[in-house]
Amino acid sequence: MSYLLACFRIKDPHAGIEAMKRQSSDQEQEDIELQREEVNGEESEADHNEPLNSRTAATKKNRDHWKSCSNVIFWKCKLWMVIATIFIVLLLVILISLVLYSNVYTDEDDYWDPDALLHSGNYHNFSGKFNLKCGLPYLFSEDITKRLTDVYSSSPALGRYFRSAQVVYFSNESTTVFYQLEFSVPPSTEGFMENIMNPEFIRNVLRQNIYDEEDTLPHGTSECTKLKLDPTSLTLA
Amino acid sequence: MLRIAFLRFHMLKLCFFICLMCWVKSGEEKKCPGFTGLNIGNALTGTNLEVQLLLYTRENPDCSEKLNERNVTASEYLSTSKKIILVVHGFRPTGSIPVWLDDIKTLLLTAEDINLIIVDWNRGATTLNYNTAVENTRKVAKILKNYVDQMLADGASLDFVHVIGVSLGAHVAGFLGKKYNGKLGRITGLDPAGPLFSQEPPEGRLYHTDAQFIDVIHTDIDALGFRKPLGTIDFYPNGGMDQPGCPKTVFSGFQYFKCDHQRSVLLFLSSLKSGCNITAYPCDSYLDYKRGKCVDCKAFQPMPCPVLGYYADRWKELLIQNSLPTKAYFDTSDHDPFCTYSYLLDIITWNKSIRRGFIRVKITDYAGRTVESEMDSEAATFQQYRRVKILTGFYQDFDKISRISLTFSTKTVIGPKYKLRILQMRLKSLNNPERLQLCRYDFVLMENIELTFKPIPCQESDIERESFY
Repeated sequence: MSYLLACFRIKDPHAGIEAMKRQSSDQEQEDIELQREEVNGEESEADHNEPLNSRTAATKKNRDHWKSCSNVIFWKCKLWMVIATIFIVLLLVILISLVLYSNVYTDEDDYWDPDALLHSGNYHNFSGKFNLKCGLPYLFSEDITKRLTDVYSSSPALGRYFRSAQVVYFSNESTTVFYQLEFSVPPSTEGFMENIMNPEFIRNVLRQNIYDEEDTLPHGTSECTKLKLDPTSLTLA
Repeated sequence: MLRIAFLRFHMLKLCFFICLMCWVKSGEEKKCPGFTGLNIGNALTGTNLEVQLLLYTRENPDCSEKLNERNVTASEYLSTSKKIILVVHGFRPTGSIPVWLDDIKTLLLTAEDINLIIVDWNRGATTLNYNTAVENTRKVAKILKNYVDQMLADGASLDFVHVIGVSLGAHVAGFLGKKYNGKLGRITGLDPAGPLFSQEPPEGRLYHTDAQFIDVIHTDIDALGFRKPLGTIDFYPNGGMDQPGCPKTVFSGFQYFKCDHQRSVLLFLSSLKSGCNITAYPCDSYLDYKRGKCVDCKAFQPMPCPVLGYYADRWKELLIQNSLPTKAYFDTSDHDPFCTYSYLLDIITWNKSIRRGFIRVKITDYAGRTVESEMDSEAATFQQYRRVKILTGFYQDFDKISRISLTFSTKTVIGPKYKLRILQMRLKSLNNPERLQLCRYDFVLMENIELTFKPIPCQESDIERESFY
């Protein structure tokens, strides 16, 4: 610690940053002096650097303090190395914690307990009907059940509660399909029944899917190649 | 020889022509008095107050008639049976002629058959010392009273006198109104001056009892304008502070100082053009307006929400009934005609914890054109199952929207990327409320990732449900 104090004991108490600069320029000067001893021919270059260090010359008294920065503390480590290492470590810690804060995050809404939902024992059934735009001769209730299951099990809000869908009554002549949906209901949470288990909302999820499906078909095709539902006929209660 | 004679003849003709031009020009100048043009030199030395009133009517739209101070009724064109509009300019630190002068003249005369009087007190307003100009305002009002008294004696009615005051001119109008105990028909204040007036009591500035109906447009409340409401209805475009399209830094030169202030005049002028109406929404604060709390204008039914500018007096009767001054907010675009097309976006989310952030909306029509809304200045707070209303505006409007893109952002660089889980979103046009409302259900917005989808028509029951909230 006394080394550290020695290093920072400067006359101007405001010049913290200045001290850092001086420290580095001091280092630079020492390097140059070394060079001078070795190669005389490089003297001109050293002269060139001289004005830069005039400041150091002016604060010659302080130099003694700065010299203590290059004292060897242990092994070959000098004091300035220790200080630099502490700074780098601190910086790394800050950086890593920032990265971790940004990336290690669990969204509570992404996780739920499927077992608890299954064993809660609360179910809610909805039944409704819709008309088919075209009744295909080979269309089976399985196709419609699959479609309903796909829509609801992939829904971000409803998927986790969805249990099953089934076609109750299917008439090829009237092209009206009666269907039933079953959802698990978690132990009472406020607003859940009014907003998520809301027949209006559940119906709109299907209605939206029907509109999207229509959009994927080329315009003006009246051919019945795929299952087509009539979005306006959809009811649910 | 012949050629020289020919040339000389030509020269003579030219001389004659120039002389004729000069004569005609000087004749014109005599006949058509103009607005006093001064320069920065006059501003440096200061000017003594001189007021002249220049009358324009549909009979003399291009050549004004200077009203005689002692005998106003001797005027050739003044018709006291018609509406009289006085336009009073404000402080002129450079002495130049106001740039909007020609436009306001043309547009007002096109809109209505009126007596338009430009009050030219450029000598008196041109000085570098703002205090002097402020002191002159009461004097100008006193001089104007003399003119107006004579017009009244000639059969004019105070009900049909409308004073449009710009900046300091708005307070001149106020002082004139006080002299008639608020019987003056209408005062329009275009960004009334704030400096040296903000702390004044009602007697020392424009006040809502100075005329029967006072409409004020505030466009620079944080610098040259006046913050508090002054009239029967006070319009605050874009909240009254920074106007879109105006420079944000001092590096843009003189425009930086006057752009916001001058916008009030440009907005008033655009209301006289048949481009589009700027609808304003009476509201307690700009924030409430932005949160879509004031979009229905129930107090004005069966009238729609009031419009900005010249035709604001259609709401006069309804507004006078309110004892308190009405503040009205709206957003504008950055160029003439300054209209924006407002949409109300409402969103219900199901995130367990509260999310705060901004929603940017893009709409695309069937031709593939896309417009983007401006990002809100205030973050919206999304609570589970709560309906959040956000007002968004587009510079362009599409009759039919094929795609909507939404981006959720928290404007933070570090920290986790949140998701906004949406049960329902609805987009409703406020300018054309009869248009089909567009909905989308059950989707997740990832932070800073744009989601584009095809909207579907909302169900009637959704729309009915809204009225309960």
